[in-house]
Amino acid sequence: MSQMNRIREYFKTVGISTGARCAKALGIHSDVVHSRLQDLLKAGWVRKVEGCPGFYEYHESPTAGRKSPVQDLLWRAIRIAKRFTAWDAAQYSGATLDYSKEYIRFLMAQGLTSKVGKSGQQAIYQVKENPPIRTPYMRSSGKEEERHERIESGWTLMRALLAGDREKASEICEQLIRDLKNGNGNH
Amino acid sequence: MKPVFVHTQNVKNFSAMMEIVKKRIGHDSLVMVSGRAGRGKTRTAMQYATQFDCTYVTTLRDWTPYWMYQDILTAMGIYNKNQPNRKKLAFELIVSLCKENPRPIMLDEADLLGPRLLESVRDLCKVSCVPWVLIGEESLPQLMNRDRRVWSRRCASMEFQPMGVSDVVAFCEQATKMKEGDPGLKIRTEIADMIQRKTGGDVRLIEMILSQAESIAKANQAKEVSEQIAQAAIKRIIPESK
Repeated sequence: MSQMNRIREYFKTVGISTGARCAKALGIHSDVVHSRLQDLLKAGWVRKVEGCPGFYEYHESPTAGRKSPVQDLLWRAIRIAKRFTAWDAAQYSGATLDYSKEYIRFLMAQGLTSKVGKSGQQAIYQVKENPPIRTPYMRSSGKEEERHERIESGWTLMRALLAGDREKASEICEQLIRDLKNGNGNH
Repeated sequence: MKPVFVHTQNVKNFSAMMEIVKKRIGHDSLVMVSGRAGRGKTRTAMQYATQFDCTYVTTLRDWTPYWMYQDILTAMGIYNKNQPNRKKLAFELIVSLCKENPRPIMLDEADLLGPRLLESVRDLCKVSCVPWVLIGEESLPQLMNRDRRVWSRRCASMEFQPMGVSDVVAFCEQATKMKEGDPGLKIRTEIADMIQRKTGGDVRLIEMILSQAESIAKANQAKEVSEQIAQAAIKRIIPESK
């Protein structure tokens, strides 16, 4: 389980807690917990407890269970546009052009869109008649999330080294090694 | 160029208006968005509908009220076999769906509606209690002002203006920024003004000219759209321009 999921599960179990308590309970460095909590806040999984600084409470995200809000937006843009290019889908949804192309390829493989022509260098696609309202999700391997976590840990380690905090640095190193041994890293 | 949605002055005005409109959910209100073709109305509406999960429908010239209801239901995710086969039932289904999930409904190219269909839209608006955003060309205000009952239900209106010089500058810099920290292709105000004048502020033409300008700048390893680059790009897209 990724660190983010472990932290989320912790808050789901205890309801309300601080980042420091969570760090202690899970054996994760407090800086890492703090950084993950910001991600969880953005995603709507936890929220700050009003009047209690430093306390967070678990909140079932309105997007809980959604695999990707970007794919939701892409699918909505495609359903609205009906005839579209990868460029249009990216522009309306805010996704990158590469991601938009990848998602369209996935939709074509699912039989939900088809190529109907070309406009300059761009292919024109058409969504099939009566497309499902629910977003067809392209499965992600979860590698992106792990990579993001490793980068974050790396930066936390750098900050600790620059601040001369050996204890913190060694704690993060140990955590990284533990993750690698548990297979949470890219060997 | 990368596919960025640039928040031009028109887009900012539209978003600000929609913020007010969203507060009118629960009331019967019509919104009018008009402007000449090529000013980015459809693009703005589609982007907004995507981001805020609104129902978006494009008007057809030959629509009858029942056909219109069917198309609205399709946009709401109710397809052929689940659609009622009677006009009254279709109308009621739209109303109940609006009450279940209240959100603005956008009707693009609404200038094609005609007085009869506009009355049907007004009826839907009156009963469904969600804002209906009518987007169309210059003839839309005339159509809406003809009927006093339609006119009085208007809670907001805006006209899309030609893309301004500052919009051209912002568009050029944002669309040519290939990665974070990259400043993008620079363009001086005088050059942006020239492009704006030659195109009359038409979004599609400006986009194509800037795309050409980017290719020429890349080939010449230039970091700025110079006058020569801009003129060459304009000549490729609007050859008749002097």
